[in-house]
Amino acid sequence: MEVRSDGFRIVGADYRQHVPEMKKQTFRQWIKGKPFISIILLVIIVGGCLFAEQLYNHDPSDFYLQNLNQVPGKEFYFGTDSLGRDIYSMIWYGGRASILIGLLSTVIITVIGITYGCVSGMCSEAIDAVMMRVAELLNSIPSLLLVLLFVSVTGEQNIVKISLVIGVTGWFGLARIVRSEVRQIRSSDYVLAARCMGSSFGHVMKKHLIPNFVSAIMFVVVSSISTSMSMESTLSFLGLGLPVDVVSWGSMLSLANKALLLNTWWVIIIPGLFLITTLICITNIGNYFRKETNKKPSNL
Amino acid sequence: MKRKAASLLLAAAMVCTMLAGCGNSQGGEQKEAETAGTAQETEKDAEPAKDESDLSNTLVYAGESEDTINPLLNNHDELPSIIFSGLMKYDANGAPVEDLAESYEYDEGSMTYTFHLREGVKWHDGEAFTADDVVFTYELLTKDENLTASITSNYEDIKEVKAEDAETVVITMGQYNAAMLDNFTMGILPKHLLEGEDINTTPFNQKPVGTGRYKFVSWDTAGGSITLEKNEDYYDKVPNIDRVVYKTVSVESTKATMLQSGEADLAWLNAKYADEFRGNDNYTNYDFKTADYRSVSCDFRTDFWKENGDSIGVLNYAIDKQSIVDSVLNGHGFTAYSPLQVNPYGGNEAADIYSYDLDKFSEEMDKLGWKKGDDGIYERNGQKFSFSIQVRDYEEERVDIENIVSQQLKKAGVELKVELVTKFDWESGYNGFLAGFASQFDPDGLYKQFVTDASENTMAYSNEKVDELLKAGRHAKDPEERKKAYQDFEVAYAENPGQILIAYLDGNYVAVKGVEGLDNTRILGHHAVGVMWNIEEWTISR
Repeated sequence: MEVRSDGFRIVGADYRQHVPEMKKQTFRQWIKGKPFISIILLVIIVGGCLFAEQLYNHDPSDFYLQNLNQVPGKEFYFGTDSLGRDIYSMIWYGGRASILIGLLSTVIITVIGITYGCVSGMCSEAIDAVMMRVAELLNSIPSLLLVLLFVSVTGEQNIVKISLVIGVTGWFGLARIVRSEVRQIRSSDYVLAARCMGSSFGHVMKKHLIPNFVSAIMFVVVSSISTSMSMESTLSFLGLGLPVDVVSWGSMLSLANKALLLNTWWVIIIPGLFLITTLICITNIGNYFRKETNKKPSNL
Repeated sequence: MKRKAASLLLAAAMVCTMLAGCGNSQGGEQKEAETAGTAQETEKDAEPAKDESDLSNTLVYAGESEDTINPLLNNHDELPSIIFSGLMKYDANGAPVEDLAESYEYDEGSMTYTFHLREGVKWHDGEAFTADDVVFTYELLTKDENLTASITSNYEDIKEVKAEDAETVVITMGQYNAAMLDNFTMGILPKHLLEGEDINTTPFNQKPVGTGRYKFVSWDTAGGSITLEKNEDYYDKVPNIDRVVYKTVSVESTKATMLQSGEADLAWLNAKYADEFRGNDNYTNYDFKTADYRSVSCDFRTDFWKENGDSIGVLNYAIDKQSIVDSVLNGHGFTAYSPLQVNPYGGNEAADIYSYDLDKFSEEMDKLGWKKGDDGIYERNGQKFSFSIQVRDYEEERVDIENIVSQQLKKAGVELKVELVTKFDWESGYNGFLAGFASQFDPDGLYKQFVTDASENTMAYSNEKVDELLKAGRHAKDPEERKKAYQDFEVAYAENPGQILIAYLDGNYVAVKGVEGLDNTRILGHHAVGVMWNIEEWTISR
């Protein structure tokens, strides 16, 4: 309720308008507790991948046969591999594929996980039990095994296919969290009211459920970017991921065995470093979300 | 108190098992043996002791994968040649000399070979070797309709094989064949074990019995190793090395790693890995010359080459073969222009008609009617110059070669799609494969691969002129006449090739220190096979 003040005049001796003291937040305080190093690193890496065309100084798919196994230096910043491919240029191009796969898989995981969790949470006990047992059952199978199965079924891989495979096999955990959150809010007055008014399941999910648990699942969603990326590298490392001509950090790492024999450390270390840095940054950011959620009063 | 003691005990037990686990991880086989159960333990008790003492004189060889050991079916593998022996064998220079035959005569008039067999030769199972076995083997080769072997074309001139008595075999030819003595080097199979069996599928192929220098002992298909023992009753020099353990590994990097970790004593490595062992005192590099070349072999059963078979040779202009030799092969090899280049009958430089020349390439492509499309890829009659070539993913050197060739062709406006497979797939319609072939002995070795409908001509190459010249080479008696036929063949083939020849490789073997006696006089074959030709002379000292 607004107090109109134009009709009155406050008078009195030594009257001073009360201005509550608002200390200006310093930058230091603002970033306190925020994973800013991770954010900066991630921005640099993602930016580098986005602007790969501007950054690269050699054709990432060409073989520079005069410059095999070059140590990192002036011409080839990160060296070349045993067929003269420029690691520096490949890193930025490869990062695109890796990050894209991470994001795409996460989208798939999130969509399936949230839908499945909401349906399960809103359904009757019996259906809920069956749906959850199914998810738990699938979750108990090592995901690598499931992924390998799908990869062998789907044939030749590309970025979309591989994201789909990783996404389809990675949503179980998320669905369980979503379902437990939904179980807690499903009997809230506003949900009951909405349902009484005959709103559809989609509406309830969009308007009432998701906004309430989005912060709780943020951590899982963010960290599934990194799990998806490492799954892609695992697959490519095993030679089951992307075809050789599609550069990704994982497929670059698949040269590691060869590089170890040929004593060319930079072929392994550099893509590995980029992958690990990205993964740690993402995990760190995810961890920040988790902490933030835990600070808030419980949804109960 | 009691509970504490119990948990302590449990912890101790866990530590023990962990330690045991660690110890096992060093030798995968040990672990398997342990988990195999106690039932076998008593049986095996005696063996490990023997194994251990034997190890000093056991050669562990890391070689290609095998599924059969049969000289009829595997004509470019190492094991058949040391388990089996033929009427003839190759000497150091690759010339055929007597082996199971003590002597032979050839009668020109009647075109018959008469082989006098060695007496007292025994099969590895103790049975006596007789002329019947020879007759049986050659009848299989020439008469068995079911046999799917790539070498049958070599024997099509045989008219009749007859045993005169237990030690004499008479082989009558229908037509003179200059390479026949070479072909008689093929291993002889035991009649008493194989009569009435389907040779393609018989279990004998996995437990072979021969007359050769080494006896087959066991095949551990799960662990991928084949154990051989020397044949004490061998009719010639008995080998020095007691046992040969042949580990079946196809992946090139695995072979190199096995040498590094001491899991293998000898292996053929690709040039790059072999170079890593040079200068290391614990290893010896043995570099052999080989007749082994790599090529992009085009499958004429596919529509693409049926229509565009005229445009294979021109691709040679767009490939910088020397750069491939320098990079992938680290300079251990040379560029290829003919499938007979290292053969004494071949090497006709007039057949070297293509040089790396992109201007010439576009000129020739114009002549052939190809026009560059919007995407920079040549087109003709509405069809893009785009084809797929399969290559096995574990053959790193071939994958590297193909990747570079693909890159170079792309720059020139031709699309070569690299298809990685784990096993060659001949039915999926790939337009060809990254091939390796060798004719290290008589040039007639080419006949079965290049003549229309011959037994190894799986890519359905057909060229009248080539057929004619190879037939002339096979049936001519005068070496000069033969030489001319083969040199003409090289030119005729270069003009209308069925494959894009890339490079010849050296056979880079690496052995751990102490393995001695390898003799690199012999020119080796495909996959540098034939290194064991003098295995009886090898020694190991540890």
